[in-house]
Amino acid sequence: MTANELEVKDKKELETTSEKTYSCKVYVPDTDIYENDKEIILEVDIPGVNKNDVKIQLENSVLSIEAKMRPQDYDKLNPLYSEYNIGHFYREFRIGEMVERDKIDASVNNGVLKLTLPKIEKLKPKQIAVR
Amino acid sequence: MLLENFLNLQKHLDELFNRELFPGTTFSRRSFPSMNLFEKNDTLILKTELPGFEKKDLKIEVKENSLLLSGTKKESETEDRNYHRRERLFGTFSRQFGLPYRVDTEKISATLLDGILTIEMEKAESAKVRSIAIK
Repeated sequence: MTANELEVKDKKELETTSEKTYSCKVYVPDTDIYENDKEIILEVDIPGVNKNDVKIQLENSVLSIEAKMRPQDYDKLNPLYSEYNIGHFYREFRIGEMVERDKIDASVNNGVLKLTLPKIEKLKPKQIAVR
Repeated sequence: MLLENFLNLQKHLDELFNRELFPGTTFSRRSFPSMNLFEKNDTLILKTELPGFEKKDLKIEVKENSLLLSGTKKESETEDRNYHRRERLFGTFSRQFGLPYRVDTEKISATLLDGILTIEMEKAESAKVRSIAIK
C-alpha cells in the first residue's frame, strides 16, 4: 500500500451557519474513522498544533474538536511564496449511543490526533457457542 | 504575535498564492507536499505540513539553490478495520524545487514538530547583497 504517490489535497475551509466572531481562518481537518469489535477510532490531521491547544468536547451526542495552531511560530517571518494557508482546525462528529462516553481516550502524535471511543460492553459482538 | 499581525500574514499568504513569485524555478503548486517559503534576515525558512510522518521517514538534500525532499508515510495494518471515512493520505513522495538564491549547505537545519517540517537555510556568502563604495 505504500507505493502510492502522494497527491496534493487542498485544505478545506470551515463553513459555518453561525457568524464567526473573529476573522481567523479555520480549516476542516482530514479524518479517518474506523471501528473494530471493541472501539471506534478517529484519526485527525492537525499539523502545527500542540496537544495542549486541542480542546475536545462531548455535548449531547456531538463530539467537537477544536485545535489551535501557534501564530507565534510565524512571528517576524516575511512570506515569499505560498502554496497553502494556515489557521486553526475545527470539526464536529455525531456520536452514537454505543459509545462508552466516560472512557474516551485522546492522544496527539506528530500532528495527528487519535481518539479512541470504546463501545459499550453489551453491544460488543459475542460468540455464542452451539451446544 | 499580535492577532492583527497574524491576520495580515494570512491575507498576505492568500495574495502570494495567486502570484507567480520566482519565474523559472521548479516550484509547481500541484506537487505534494504544499510548501510555504519565508525569509527572515538572510535565512530562508521553508515550512510544510506533514502530519503523521516521522523523522526517519523523511529525507532532505540541498545543493546550491535546489532542494530535494522525499518521504514515505506507511499505513498501519488495516485488516480488522471497518472504515467509515478515509480522508488521510498515505504513500510516498519526492519533490525537488528551486530556491530563490544559493544557500550555504553547511548551515541548514531541519526540525519536525507537531507534523510541521521546518527547514532553515542561510543565504550563501556569494548570494548576499554587497554595497560597493564608489571610489
